[in-house]
Amino acid sequence: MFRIVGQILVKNGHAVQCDNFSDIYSLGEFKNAVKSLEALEPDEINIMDLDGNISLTLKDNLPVLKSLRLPVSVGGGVDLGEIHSYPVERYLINSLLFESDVSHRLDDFKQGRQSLIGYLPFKEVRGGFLYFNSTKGVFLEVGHRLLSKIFNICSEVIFLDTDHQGNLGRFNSRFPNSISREYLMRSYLSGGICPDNLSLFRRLGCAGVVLDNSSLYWQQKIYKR
Amino acid sequence: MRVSVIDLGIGNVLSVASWIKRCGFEANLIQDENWRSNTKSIIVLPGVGNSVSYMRALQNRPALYNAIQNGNYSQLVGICAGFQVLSSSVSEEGKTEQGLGKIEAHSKPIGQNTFHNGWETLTSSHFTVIEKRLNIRRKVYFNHGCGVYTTPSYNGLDDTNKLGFSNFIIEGNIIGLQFHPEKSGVFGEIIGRSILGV
Repeated sequence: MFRIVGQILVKNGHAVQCDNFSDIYSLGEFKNAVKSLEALEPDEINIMDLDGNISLTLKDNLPVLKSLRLPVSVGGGVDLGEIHSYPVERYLINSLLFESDVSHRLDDFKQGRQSLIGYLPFKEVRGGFLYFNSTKGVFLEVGHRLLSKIFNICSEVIFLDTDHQGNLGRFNSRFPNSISREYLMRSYLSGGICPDNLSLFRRLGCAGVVLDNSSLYWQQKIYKR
Repeated sequence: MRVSVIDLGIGNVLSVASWIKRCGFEANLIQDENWRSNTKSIIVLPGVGNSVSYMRALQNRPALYNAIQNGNYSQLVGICAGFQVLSSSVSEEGKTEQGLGKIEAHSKPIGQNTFHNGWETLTSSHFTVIEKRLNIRRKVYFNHGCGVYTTPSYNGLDDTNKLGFSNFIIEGNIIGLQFHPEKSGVFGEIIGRSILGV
């Protein structure tokens, strides 16, 4: 079940487009963007708030979110204690993954692990990969033990190539070889993915791709569920 | 028709309520405090949740729990985790709890660190007819780590997934759906109008 997730990046309440998370420009109202994306029928709609204000974005856009017929995942400052108050199904977490007492903190989490998606932006440094911790604002090494813990906490993980975010067809081809096949099967790849060449990613055996800056492709029928 | 959506503070309650409205019915969110037992309504148990936590939350709401156990509904619909708790027992994350016992089945993880996420075609011949007649795709959205496994003696209508768990169950006025009709596009609304309109 290879899945194509359409992602909407949000900044200051607007849908935005950007390259390497800089040169950000508005694509207009969030509600119009999300309805346009829904019309293309992606497997899932992902909403990522770059300001870390996802609760505010959800609160301000409740009517349009309630109208969505497709599964919705959200990220960017998710508060696991209040997320059930919104019409969303899955949640992206990052900073929690790096906390030592995460298992203990999730003891009271009632939404189930199937709703938790790890979000790991990465970059390549001297042949190795570092992963972004949004709380600290730095890229860190993630050893086998931490990666194993992350895949034990989350049902799936999104790996975002920050070096090539917004650069079509440039996704780092070395990255998939850096994680085991078992993990790859539960991973979405994102950042610099060219929608004209998805067969490459299907062959890898990953769970799917997340098309950030998906607004670029709204005129194309790529989401053929 | 009034539909009562059970709100335990778990799951995508708002998505389910919106789906019911899109299907043409009135949806009321029901907590323990505002449960009124004088009229029978369709009760919907929404999903997205840990089934053991879900069951414990239900047990801690005596008015709702008793209403369901006493059959005080015209129809009972469980979605995903809400379907799993209709079983005799639920197990998740190494914990086990007694279920509502509405169907002869047990709910348990579908595998170690195994999750079933994505869109699948329902194979039941009933849906093939709908697909042909309306020219729509009959794919539905799944997202779960546990499944409902009926006992060998179970004799209700059970559509079994190739992975062994039930996609859906229909037994009298009890309907369990492992997939999420509220997030299954137009086909999900056709299913909703069918099961809530009975």
